[in-house]
Amino acid sequence: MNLKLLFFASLREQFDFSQKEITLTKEVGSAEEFLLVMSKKNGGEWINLLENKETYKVAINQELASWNDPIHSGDELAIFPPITGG
Amino acid sequence: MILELSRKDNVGAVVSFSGYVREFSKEKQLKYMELEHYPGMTEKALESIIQKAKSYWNIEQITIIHRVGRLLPKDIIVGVIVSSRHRSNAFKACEFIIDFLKTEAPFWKKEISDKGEFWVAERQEDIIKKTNWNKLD
Repeated sequence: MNLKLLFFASLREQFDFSQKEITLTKEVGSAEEFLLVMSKKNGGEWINLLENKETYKVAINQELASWNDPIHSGDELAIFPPITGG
Repeated sequence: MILELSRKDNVGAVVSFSGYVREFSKEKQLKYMELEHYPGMTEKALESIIQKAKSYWNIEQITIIHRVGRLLPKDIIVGVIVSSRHRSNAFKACEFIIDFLKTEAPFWKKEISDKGEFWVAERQEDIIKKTNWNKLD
């Protein structure tokens, strides 16, 4: 399963990248499951993100979504702090 | 831009909102601000807000300009211009657009100040303002 992962603002700084192509050996059904897999595999910042996920927002294919919404291979998944424009 | 919109047929009112960078916030003196956004999603989110506004009020034209990158104190961050036949629709739609933009369009502000660098936190007041529009549905 392939995902294009994007981080913005404070998350981009914490993880030190803005986008990355991720290949998973096993399918994940949601952004929350994706976080579980990544934090088991990589630890560190990923665990921190998983534990505080309710303070962050998710967009799937450039539309605001929830952590439980379905994701599919080829999707663009963005995770970011609350929006502060305008 | 405001003049341009007013020249369209049927326009009786043009309402505009301009948002500026303030030089002080919570005892910090701002040096400059970095505006980050999500290219692609930003345009989609703004288009979606425009379509929502047009579905609620009879509007002739809507223009939204949002700056990104480095902004100095007193710079304009965002402009919203709405034209309609009658003023009431333009006033309401303009306020609706800026309220939704603040919570749905993917922009993030970082303040670089005399006390250090800080990502701006979301304001509860902005969430309440957006929620107050729910009664339109």
